[in-house]
Amino acid sequence: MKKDESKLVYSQTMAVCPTCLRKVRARIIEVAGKVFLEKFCPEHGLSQALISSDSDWYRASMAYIKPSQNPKEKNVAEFVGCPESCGYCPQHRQHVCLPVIEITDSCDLSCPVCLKRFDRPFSLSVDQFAGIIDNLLHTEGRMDVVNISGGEPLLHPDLEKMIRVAKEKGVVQLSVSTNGLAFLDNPALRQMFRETRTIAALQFDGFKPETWKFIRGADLAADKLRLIELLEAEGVTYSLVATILKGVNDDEIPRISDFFFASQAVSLMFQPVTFSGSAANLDTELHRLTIPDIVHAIEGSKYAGKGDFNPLPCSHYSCFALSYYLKVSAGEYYSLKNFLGRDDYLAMIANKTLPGLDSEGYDMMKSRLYELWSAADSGTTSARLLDRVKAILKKLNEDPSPDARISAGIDNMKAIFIHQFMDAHTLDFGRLIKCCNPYPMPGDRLIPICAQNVFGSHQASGKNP
Amino acid sequence: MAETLIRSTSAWCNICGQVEHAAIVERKGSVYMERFCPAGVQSEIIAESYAWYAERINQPHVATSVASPVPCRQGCPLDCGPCEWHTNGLRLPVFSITNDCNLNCPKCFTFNRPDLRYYKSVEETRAIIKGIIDASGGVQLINLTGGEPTLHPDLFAIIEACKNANIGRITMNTNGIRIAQDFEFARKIKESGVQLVFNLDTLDPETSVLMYGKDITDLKLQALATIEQLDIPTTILLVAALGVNEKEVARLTRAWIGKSFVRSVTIQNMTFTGKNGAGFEPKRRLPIDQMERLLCEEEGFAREDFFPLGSYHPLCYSVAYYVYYGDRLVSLANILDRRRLSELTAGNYLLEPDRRFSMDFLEGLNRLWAENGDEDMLMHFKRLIRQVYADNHDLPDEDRRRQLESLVKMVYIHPHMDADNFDLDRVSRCGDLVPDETGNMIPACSYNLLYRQKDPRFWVEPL
Repeated sequence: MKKDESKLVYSQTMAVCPTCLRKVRARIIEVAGKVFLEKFCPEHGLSQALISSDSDWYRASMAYIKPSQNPKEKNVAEFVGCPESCGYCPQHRQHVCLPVIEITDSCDLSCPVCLKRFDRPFSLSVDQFAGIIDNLLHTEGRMDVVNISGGEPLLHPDLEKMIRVAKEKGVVQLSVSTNGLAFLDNPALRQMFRETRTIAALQFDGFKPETWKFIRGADLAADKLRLIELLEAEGVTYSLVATILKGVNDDEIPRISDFFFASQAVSLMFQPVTFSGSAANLDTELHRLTIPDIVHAIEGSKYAGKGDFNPLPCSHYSCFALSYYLKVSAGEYYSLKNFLGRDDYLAMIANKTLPGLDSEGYDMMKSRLYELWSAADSGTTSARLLDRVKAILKKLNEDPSPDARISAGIDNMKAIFIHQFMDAHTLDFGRLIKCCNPYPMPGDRLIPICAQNVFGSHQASGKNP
Repeated sequence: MAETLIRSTSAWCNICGQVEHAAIVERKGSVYMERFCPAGVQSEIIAESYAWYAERINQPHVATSVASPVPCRQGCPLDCGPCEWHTNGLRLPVFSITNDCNLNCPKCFTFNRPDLRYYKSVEETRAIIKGIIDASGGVQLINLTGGEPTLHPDLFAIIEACKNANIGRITMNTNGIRIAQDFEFARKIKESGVQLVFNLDTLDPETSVLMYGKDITDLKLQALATIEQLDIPTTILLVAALGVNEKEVARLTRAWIGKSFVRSVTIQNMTFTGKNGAGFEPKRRLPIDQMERLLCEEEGFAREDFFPLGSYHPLCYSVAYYVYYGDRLVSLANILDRRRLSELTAGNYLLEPDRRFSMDFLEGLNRLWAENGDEDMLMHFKRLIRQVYADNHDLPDEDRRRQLESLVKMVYIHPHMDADNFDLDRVSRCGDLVPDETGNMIPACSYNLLYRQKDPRFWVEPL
């Protein structure tokens, strides 16, 4: 009997054949300290894709599970198979945490790393958009945070109307994923963002000209830095989103992180490149990165510490990792995990994608603060930190509205997220059924982002993939 | 309803004839496998306790394989096998030497055509044995089954054909009827050196009707008396059906494990497969940890005694080893820790009494001594281990194995899978393979669900 000590098997699952997209048998295996999704297609044979470059991280991540939170309503009445029933179908095991509404296919860039490739032009009407918001409110009961994406949403003539419609309907916070270029010569647009307190989620992939050329097709570094200066000067809330490719800009992760901590950006999102859409043409072997690669690289930042990051337990543990920091003063940050302790921290970050302080989070912060005061060892935590937290709580005591809570989060916390999307190589149906990041379609369907990007080409048509 | 998705697997659906994604889900403290079949989601309990499941399932397993696996073609479980996807070697070859049977049990999980008798020939048996040696280099034991193997007219020639220096033990399943009725036959069984796997689901007349289709209690008792009189080394095999005999199975295990002819006890949780078993009522699933808990309600058994069997999936086997001290059952888990015991069985089916085992064992005894364990008991065990490992270490391995086997009582809880809970995670780690004459080997649960009824020697589909 052959014993191959180097190959370990975690479990079976179902995935897709990267060649023909047929749903195939798969399993999660470990070889030489790395974790792979191994698939077998009856027509195209065996294939493998890296899903975690650090088996220690992967093993620890498996403990990050928590009960599913179901939406109030599911629009699909009958399950007829996955992904055919999208969505959400009766078998989907998570509610919507952050919907991503694509309002247009138009874009002023054609980035080689874009995970989209639309098969037809489209532009959502305000009515369609309003219908989408109504549908989300119907299925979820409430929808605090909504993301608008595309294409390039700043090119949509009715963006402002959409933002205002969403706010009127009760969405507390909107974010718009953008390359930001259209902001540069359009002060009115920036003003509209400031006024509606919409977050500009700004693509920001690094500093090196080669990085920009590879990722976006043009060196945009100077434009981006100029835009950030404008946004900060004008008080527009923004976040940074970096697409990271191994061998292209993974070496810039510590610098991007340091830049983020020094900036006024509320959050930083790292997205390891996903080989969907235009990016499907890139070399997966050369450029694939996984969550622990990013985590280890962030630890090279002077603000982040080892162990700050953990998977998000409400989505699948392979999809998200994150770390929250409390702002003590400019340039001084304290890991929220260390402040609250692991269990309270995990409870607090669950089911959220923006640094916010809801009533539970508020209670936890408060009780932890009292604990630290009463404990004789409060000397171990900086007095300035405690004062800071006390000030936040005082303010929230005075105004506990959802709006005030979200601003308290935005003003006082910084978050780094890592979001690992799936492509045809890494798609795992075990992750898909826990997805909380759908594209809401015109009509009532909510399609998990990765299902849409891998299987669907009917963006904006409202048709099932 | 609050539920937690724990992990994924893939599962065979007998209705669509396809493999589908399945989720392992915790709900109200128990664990379920939910198969996302387009024809309907099937939810089956796999463990009554999430805590039990989480402890057993926590590690990825090391992949092993047989010498030349068959290439994957259609995908698991349709290529058996074993194919390149399979990650266990051959631990326990099991094959049917006949479809003939003198019972027609409602609980039977195999397919046996009643219109045509098949008896495996000596040549076929030799080919199978060669295949086993080629694939594995040798195994600790093989199991002959049926039908009812004792009805094979050339049984003793078949047993002879199985004997091989690289096959440790030949075991044979039996319902015991022929042994009860024919003492001379039983004597020849003893002489042949074969070990029996004697089926004993119940000694209650009414339960006997539910399990065997008629009351054969007296025959079972007579068979046991004969086996005891002749001192034939035996495994007692009990099929436990929830709502029928699960508590009696626990009691019978406790009652018979102490007999000197009993080497081990295997409890098979009822599986709803085969010509009769698929329609067995009540169709209630008995998860492995529930049987373990019921067994531990009997004196002498404890939850801490049980561990997963080496390279198998934890839902397929839960095992405990005991040594008798006076009339007390002492678990080997008291001497060696359970993880170590699980490792010691990893490449095999039984404990392998190599030097490593004796070192671990003595180390465990020393630790117990240091922790103020019962000194008389520890001395007793030291003497036992010295018997097994004679000072000069000249004792052949085989004798040592037999010595150890007569000392150590093994309890296996071993649920099979059926159409409703067929988990590819489990089947791809199976070491209980059914070999044929061409060298193919099919995991036992794949065989019973998908392959046996395609073999005209055993079955023809009714028109």
